[in-house]
Amino acid sequence: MQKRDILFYSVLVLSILCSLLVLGFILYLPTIVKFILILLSGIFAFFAYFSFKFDYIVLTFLTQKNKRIKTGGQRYWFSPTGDVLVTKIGNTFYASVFLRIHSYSSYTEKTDEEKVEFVRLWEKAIGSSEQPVSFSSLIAYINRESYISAINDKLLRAQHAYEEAKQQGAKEEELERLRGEVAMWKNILDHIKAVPSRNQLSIVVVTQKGDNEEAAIANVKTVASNLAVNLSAILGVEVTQLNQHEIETCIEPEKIMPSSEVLIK
Amino acid sequence: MKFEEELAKVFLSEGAIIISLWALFSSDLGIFGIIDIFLLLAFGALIPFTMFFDYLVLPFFTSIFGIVEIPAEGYEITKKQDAIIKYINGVYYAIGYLGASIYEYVLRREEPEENLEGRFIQGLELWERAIGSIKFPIKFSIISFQRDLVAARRELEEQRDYWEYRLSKEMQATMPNAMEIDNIQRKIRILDVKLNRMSAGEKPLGVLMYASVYACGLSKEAALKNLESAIKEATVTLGNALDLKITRLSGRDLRNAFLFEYVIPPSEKELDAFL
Repeated sequence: MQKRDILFYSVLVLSILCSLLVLGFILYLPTIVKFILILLSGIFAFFAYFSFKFDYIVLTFLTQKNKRIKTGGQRYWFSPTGDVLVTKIGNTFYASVFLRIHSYSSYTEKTDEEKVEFVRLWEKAIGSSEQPVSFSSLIAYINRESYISAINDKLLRAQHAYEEAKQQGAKEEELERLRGEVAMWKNILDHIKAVPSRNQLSIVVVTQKGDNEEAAIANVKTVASNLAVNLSAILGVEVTQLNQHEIETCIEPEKIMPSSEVLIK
Repeated sequence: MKFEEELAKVFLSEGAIIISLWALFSSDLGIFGIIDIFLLLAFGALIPFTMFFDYLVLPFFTSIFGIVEIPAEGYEITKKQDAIIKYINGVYYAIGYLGASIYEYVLRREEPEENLEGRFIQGLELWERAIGSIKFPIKFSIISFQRDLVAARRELEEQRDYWEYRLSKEMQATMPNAMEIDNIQRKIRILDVKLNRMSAGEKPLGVLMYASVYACGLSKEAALKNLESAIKEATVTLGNALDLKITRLSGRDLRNAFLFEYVIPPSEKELDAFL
């Protein structure tokens, strides 16, 4: 019997006990006590179902006695090779592999026949796996932090050169050239900062479970390599396995929208 | 959670309410009795309501009690149970999830797929246009799983047998209802189309669609506000482009979508258990 069943039946017994108390001592209990007991039996009957339905909240709320209830620990971790994501739910280990489909052609550029063929191939690819598979299309911001920082450095250098030339009393033509350089880098930087660059990724996720971490990883690696071969053959494109950094880029919000991209404005 | 198991718990809880009502009617409580009747009936109604509208009930309770759930280290689910917040490097990130389901067009299902190629072409063009117009990060995911062929076929055949029985009963009635007969015949035709497709070798495929929408801000409120506008835009864009019914996920569905970002239940049975 699961914890939530135990909780359900315990609360249900409380509800029935309250009603039986009223029935058993009907002549001896004061009206107000009977009123409260019947009310409690109704509350317990509802709470029994509520605690069964939302067991993960109720159980942790009751045990932690805190308004900030922790229903999960570490979200996931990576295998020593860094290309398999591992997590534990209950006593079972789950290992997931992320594959990337490298398809660069635009759909709108295709002819009608190619478009139909393209869809048919995708349909075949989606139905090709025996196991549940997730196909995702992710639009993420490209992290241009180092690029922006390099442009910023060039702007600062140009500004410094202009100030220095001005103090040394350089010729007007030279000052004009340096002013132009500052304006150029400033314009480039403003242009880059105006809109974040976006990247579209096609990702496939497959998961397998195991009694221990190693078993789950071994199972998923076999399934993923077969799936990669199948998808590559059906779609005629390269399918690669993502590494730790790339997997994080697909699931962690701070990697999907880097702060350098969203706060520079 | 299995539907039958949940239904059994609903009946047991309702049974407890009936016992309470029995105790109430056995006692003479006067005005208190009237209050108790209303309250017990309200609790009795709340039980099936919670079963079908859990996405309304749980956020209501977590908002009232100010409960914030932490589903994993570094993340928290808002009191309204409709968004997940992550705070890192001085920035609040908000994640919201949208569930997508295909509209059930009865007339389209009734006939074998016509002009399939035209629909394919148009659908993907709209998809590319939708993706191009969205200016914020978004992830659209489809979890596909092969259904058990024998079980799926048996399920359809059982449904067909049931509607055949209903049709013959309606036909034998002294005053047959033409509209009802037409409706039943349409249902039988839909099932026939599905069975024929299966006989032609098409594998029954289950599909689960959802989208993850991301937003950020320098405060929790700003991140959630940005998420709201991003979700509104995504709902309209995806709904129109893909002809899908888009709904915002909350409560248990939100937790599942959060998990499905990196763990896909490895079998249909486990997927059912999660849902």
